[in-house]
Amino acid sequence: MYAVAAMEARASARGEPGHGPGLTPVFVGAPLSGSGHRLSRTIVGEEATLRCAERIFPRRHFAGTIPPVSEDGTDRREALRLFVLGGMAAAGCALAAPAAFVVAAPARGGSSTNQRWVPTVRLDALEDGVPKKVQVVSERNDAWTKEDHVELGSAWLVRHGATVTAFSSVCPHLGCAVNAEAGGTGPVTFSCPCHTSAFAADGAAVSGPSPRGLDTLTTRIDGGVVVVDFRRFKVGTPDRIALA
Amino acid sequence: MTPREKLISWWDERTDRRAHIRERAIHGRAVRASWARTLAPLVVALFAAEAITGVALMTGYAPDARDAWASVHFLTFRLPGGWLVRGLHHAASDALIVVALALVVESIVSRRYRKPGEVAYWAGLLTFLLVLLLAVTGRALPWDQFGYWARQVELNIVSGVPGGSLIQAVVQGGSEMGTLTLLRFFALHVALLPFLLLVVLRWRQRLVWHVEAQAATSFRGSASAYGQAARNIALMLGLTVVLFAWVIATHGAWLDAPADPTSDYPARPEWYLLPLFELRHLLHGPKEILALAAAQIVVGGLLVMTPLVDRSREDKPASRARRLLTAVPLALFLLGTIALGAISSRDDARDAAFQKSKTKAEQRATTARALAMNGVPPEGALAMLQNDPELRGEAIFTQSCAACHALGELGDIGKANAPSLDGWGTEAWIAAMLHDPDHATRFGKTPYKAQMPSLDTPPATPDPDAPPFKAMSADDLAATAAFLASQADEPGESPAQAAKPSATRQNAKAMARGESIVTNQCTSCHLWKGQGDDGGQGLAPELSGYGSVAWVRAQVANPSSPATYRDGALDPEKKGHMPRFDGDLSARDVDVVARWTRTHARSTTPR
Repeated sequence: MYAVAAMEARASARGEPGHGPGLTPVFVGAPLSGSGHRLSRTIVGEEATLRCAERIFPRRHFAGTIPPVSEDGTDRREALRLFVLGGMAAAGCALAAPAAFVVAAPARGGSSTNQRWVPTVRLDALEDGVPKKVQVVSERNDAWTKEDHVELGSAWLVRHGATVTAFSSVCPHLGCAVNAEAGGTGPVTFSCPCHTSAFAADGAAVSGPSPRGLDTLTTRIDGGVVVVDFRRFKVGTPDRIALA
Repeated sequence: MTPREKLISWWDERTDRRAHIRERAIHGRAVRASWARTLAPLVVALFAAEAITGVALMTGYAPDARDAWASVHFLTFRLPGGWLVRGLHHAASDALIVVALALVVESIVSRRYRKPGEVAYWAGLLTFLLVLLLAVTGRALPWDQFGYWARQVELNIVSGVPGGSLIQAVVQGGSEMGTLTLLRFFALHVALLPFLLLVVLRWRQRLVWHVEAQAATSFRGSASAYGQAARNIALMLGLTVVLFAWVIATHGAWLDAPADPTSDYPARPEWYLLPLFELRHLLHGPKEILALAAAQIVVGGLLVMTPLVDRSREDKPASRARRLLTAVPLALFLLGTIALGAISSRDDARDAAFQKSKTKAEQRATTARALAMNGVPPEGALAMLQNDPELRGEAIFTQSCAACHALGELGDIGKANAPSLDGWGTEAWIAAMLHDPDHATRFGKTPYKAQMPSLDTPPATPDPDAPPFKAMSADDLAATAAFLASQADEPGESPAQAAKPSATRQNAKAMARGESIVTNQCTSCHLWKGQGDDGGQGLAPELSGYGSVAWVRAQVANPSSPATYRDGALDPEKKGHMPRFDGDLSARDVDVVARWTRTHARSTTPR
C-alpha cells in the first residue's frame, strides 16, 4: 500500500552531525509494488516521517506535530523494546513448555505396557525341529485402555527335545514379519519377505541386509506349556537392545 | 551490508516483511497508548494460549463416546503434566470469555461503536459469540456427566424454538446424543470455530486500524510504538501468572463421572450460562422456551442495534435519550446476568435435595476417577463403572431392595415394611433380635410378626398349652448371639475383622454354650444344617451360615429354598413376604448385591 516507509533509526541519531537531539526517522525509498512507480530521490528525517504519515492518514495535516524525543526517551524506548520482546518470549514459553512436556511424555515409555512371560502352546503340539508360528495373546495396556486376550505379536517356536527355542518374528532389519521356509528337503531357514534377509535354522543371519540374527526369546516349560518371555527389540542395530 | 542485513534484505524483497512492521509502527504512534486498547491483543494472546495447549491436548484425546472420558482421564491424571495443560486450557477459556465480554463492554462505554466504528463493534460482538461457542463445544468433549447433561439440555432448548428441531438433529447427528454428536462438537471446537475466530480477529484489527486512522489528527501521546505493546505485554504477563496460580491452586480442570444417559444427574450449565438457566426458571410456563428466546433476542438485538440507535457524530455529545437507549440494554445485560447467576447459585446452595444429589454425583465421579487409574476396559468407562461391585451393588439395592428394606441412607425407614438391614448379621443385631424380634425395625411390620418369641421377655398373651415361660439369662443370650454372628464369618475374615466383635466371641466356652443352645433349643423351629423344625412349621430359617455371603445370596435368589427361609417364605397368605429375585437379576447381579448388602449391613450399627 504505502509508497514510502519510515524506519526509526535511533542508532544514527547520536553520532551524526546536523541532526539535533531529537527524532531522526530515516526514510527509505521503495517501489510501490506493482505500480511501476519509483521515487526519484531518497529523503530522510522529519520530512520523511511527515510524508509517510500523510500518505497513511490522507485527510490530516501533520506539520509541526512531531513531538521531540529526549535522549532519555531513547533509552526508555530501548528498555520498552526489551520488555516487549522478553515478555512475549516469557509468556509464550510459559505455555509452550508444559504443552511440549505433555506431548513428549509418552516418548519416555510407560504409556503402553505389555505382559511378559506369556503361555503359548503345549509342548506336545510342537514337532521336533519344525518351526511353528504362535500368537502371543495376553493383557495389554494401551494408553488408557486395559484389555485382556489381545494379540501382542507372534513368535517362532522350534522344539529340541525337551527344550524350545523361540525367535521373535520381527525382522531385526526394519521390523517386517519373518517367514519360515517350511517346504523342500533342505534345512529349515527363515526369511523376511520385505528386504530378502535370510536366517539359518539357529536364527543366524545368512544373507540380506539384516544387521543381526533373529532375536531369541527366553522360554520355559510350565506344566507342559511353552511360556515365552515376550519382548521387542530395537531394529536396525547390530546389537540387541531390548525396548522397555 | 553485513550478512544479517543481506539476509533481511533477501527476505524483504520477496515477502515485503517491512510493510507489516511499518504499518504497526505508524499505528502505534497515531493513537495514544491506553489500557483499554490492550483488550483486543489480550484476546489474541489468550487465543494463542488456547491453540498451544489445545494442540497438546489433541495428542491425547479420542473423540469417541466410548473412549473420550477415558482419554481425558488419562490425559489429566496419568500423563505427566497433563493436568496442568488441561487446567490452563480450561482457565484460559474462562479468561477469554471475560476479556471478550470486556472488549464489547468497553466499546459501548467509550462509544466506539459510532460512525465509522459500527462494523468494528459488530466484529467485537461476533468475537464474543465465537468465544462462547468455543467454550460450550469444548466442555462437551470430555463426555462427562457435566458436559453431557449441559449440552443435552441446551440442545433440547434449541429444539423448542421454531426450526430448532433441525438444528438439534444436525448438531446432534441424529435423534440422540452419541459419538456423532461428540465428533461434531470436536470438529466445531478444533477446526471451524477457531478458524472463524482467527478470521474475525484479523478482520476486526483491520477495521479498528481503519477507524483509528480516520480519527487521528496528529501524532500524539507516546512517541514510541512500544508504548501500547508494553501495556499489552504487561497485562499478558500478569494474566499468565494469574492463570498459572489459579490452575495450581485448583489443581487443574475438573472431570466429572463418565456421561451416563440413564442417570439422574443434577444438571447445571457452566457459570457463564447460569444466568440463562435461571432465566428459564423465572419464565416457567408452557411458552418458557419461546419467552426465553424472545428475552435473548430483545437483549441481544439491542446490543447489536446500539450503533444504529446512537448515531450522534463523534465530536458532538449525544442526546440524553439516545445515551439511555444504549446504556439500558448494556446495564440490563450485565446486571441481569450477574443477578440471575447469583440467584441460581443461592437457590442451589439452599436446596437440600439438590445438594444431596450433587454429593452423590461427586462420589460417583471420585469412584470413576479412582477406578480408571488402573486402565479402562475396551468397552469404555461407563461399562467400567457399571461393573464395579460397589456402585453396581448400590444401584441394584436401590432399585430392587430399598422399597422394603432400609440400609444406611438408602430406603425410607418409615415406609420400609421389611427388617432394617443396618447392622444385620452382627452380634448386636442378633442380640436385639433375640430380645425383641417384633420391633418395628425387625419383624414388626412383616408377616413374620408374632412368629418368633423373645428369649428373655415373657409373651404378652401366653399360650395356655405351652410350658411356662423361662427367661434366658443375659449370658446365654450373649453367647447365642456371639455364636450365631460367627456363622457370618467368611474365610480370611477373622472375628476381629468382623463388625464389632465382643469379648464373648473370643471366649471358647461361651461359644460352645452358644452352639449348644442353637443346635438344641433353636432347632425346635429353626433348621441347623438342614435338620430341625421339630413342629414342622416350615417358617424359621436355616441358621448355619446365617449372614454369610452364601446365605445372603441364597436368600436374594430364592427365599423359599431350604438354604434360608424354606417353602413357607413364599406362602401367598403371607402378604408382603420377600419375593425371589433370581428371575429379575442375573446370577452375577445376585452375587454382587448379596456381597454389597452384607458388607454394608455389617459396617452399620443396628437401629
